[in-house]
Amino acid sequence: MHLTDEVLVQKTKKGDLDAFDELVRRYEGKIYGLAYRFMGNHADASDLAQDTFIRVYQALTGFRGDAAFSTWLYRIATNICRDELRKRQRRRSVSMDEMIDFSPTNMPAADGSYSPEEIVQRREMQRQVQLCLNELSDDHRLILILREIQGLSYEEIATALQCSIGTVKSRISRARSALKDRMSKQGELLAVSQRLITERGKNNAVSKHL
Amino acid sequence: MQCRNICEMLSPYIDGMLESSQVVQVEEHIAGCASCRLEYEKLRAAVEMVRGLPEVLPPAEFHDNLLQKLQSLPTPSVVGSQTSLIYRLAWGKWSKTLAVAAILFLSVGITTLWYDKHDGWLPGAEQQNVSSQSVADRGELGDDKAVIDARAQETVREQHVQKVKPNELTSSSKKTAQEPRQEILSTPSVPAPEKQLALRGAGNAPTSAVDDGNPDADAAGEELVAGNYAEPEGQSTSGGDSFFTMMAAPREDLQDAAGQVIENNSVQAKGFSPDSDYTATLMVNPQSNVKADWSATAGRYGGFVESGPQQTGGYWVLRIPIGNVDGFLAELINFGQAEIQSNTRDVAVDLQQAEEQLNLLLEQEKTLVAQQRTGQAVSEKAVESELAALRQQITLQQRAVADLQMNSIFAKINLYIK
Repeated sequence: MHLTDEVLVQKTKKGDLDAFDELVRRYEGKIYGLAYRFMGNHADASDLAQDTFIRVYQALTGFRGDAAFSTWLYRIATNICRDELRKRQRRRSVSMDEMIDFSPTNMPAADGSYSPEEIVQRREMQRQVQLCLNELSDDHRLILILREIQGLSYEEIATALQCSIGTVKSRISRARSALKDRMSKQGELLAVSQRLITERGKNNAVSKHL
Repeated sequence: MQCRNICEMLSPYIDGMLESSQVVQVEEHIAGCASCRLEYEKLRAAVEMVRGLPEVLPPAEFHDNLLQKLQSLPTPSVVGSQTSLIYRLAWGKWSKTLAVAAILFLSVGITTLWYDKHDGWLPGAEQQNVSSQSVADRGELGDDKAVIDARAQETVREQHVQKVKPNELTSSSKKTAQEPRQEILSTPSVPAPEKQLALRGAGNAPTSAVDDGNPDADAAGEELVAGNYAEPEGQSTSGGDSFFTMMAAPREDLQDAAGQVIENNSVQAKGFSPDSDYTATLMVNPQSNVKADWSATAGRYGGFVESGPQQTGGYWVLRIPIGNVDGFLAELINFGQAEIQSNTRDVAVDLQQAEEQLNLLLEQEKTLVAQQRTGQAVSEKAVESELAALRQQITLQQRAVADLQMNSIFAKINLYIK
């Protein structure tokens, strides 16, 4: 019998750790992925994702169910990520470059249809994209992760970040614009995908710009 | 309408968050204004790149570590983790990669050179072939099954140690009675593009390995996109439908492929998928002033550095396409004396099991979706969250399968430098 998040939350509140275990299973991938893309490396992602679930567990008695459990979970996770980065920046200026993993992901790139060459290229490209993300401000990076990678709606993001939909809309817009500028600087990266997106004949304009 | 106003609407336009009158304004404007159109396309491309990033999964030990921590917290709680069989299967298959991946950290820059010189990138151009190809591969099966079962008993890893002195390293290897290695190297069960690469593998400069062969794929990529770039998307889209989803075919495709797989009973026709590990110890010749750049060397053979000494505790992990391994190993002697061990095992059985597991999950998903559609479900919410959980398992399992396939394309080389 499959139980909803809400039922599992109720059971957890009554001391059923198995119920919470199930909630963790449902969301650990998402939260870990969020933390990884935000921090850029597995070591930090592990720590922050773990902190998130521990804090959620401890705070669960205070969760009244005004928002969906998942949104509440995102709210805690994003706060933990931002706090961590703020803490570090106060302690000493850590550049994101120092933190980024060489190998961006747990990467079984192949699905049988890719040549080794393509796999190698994809890896490099993904690393470049992560580098661009890491150059953005924390707020911009965070909102792009929530929107583009986690696929949250504007409403869900507004709840998770505790701001208005208008703010979400304009922040996403600015974040994308900043990302686009970074990628233009990375040159090739955008040019390559640009060529694929752009119809033939518009390419001249693109290469001139880059 | 001013260009600046239009630019502000582009982002919500991409998300399908504009009113229909605004949508018309934007579309009319970018149809007539080249600079705004370019702006839109660049924005869209940037978005798609981020959406195309693969999902990152926590390492295998993450869950258990967390659970331990939770249990030690002062809240009274019952210990227990009744893991479902399906979950354990999915997780088990995947955990090996995760264990490897979890130790990947920084290393020297890889293939930057490649990338700079490279003017074509091949996203998903071949995705459409996936289903037909895999169906074809799985064709005849029935009779081969006995063979596969027999091999299953040999799945135990076999080890061969070779002492190799300079100039003695050739593609031939020590032969043992029931030893599959020879066969692996001569008939790697890899797709055709791999073979092309093997041909140009040895001796080619990295740039040339990249420059050729791409125009076709480029063209294919353009075709693929032509129909879909200009459409804003519905709000529910999480980006999975784009060709930029580099790692996985769109879900539709996967389901189609899987549907076929189920019918064909899901065993690989070839029944033999090598998974090769090499451990090479290189005694660098003190007189040699050749400086090793492993990224470049691996790149020349179509491979890459998976991790460097900093995170593995002193050795390099390189991935080289199976067809090029011999060439690569032969090149090691330029740097000194090499000792090479190889471990090869047949992962056909693992692969078969992983695929069957995946089919099972996809079947379950289908049933649930059908229930949802016909409204048979007792509680809609329950079905929804069950579906979500199931899809997560499916993702895991797809990765397990992909990982096994990856291992049969790239050999892993642990390189110790003495």
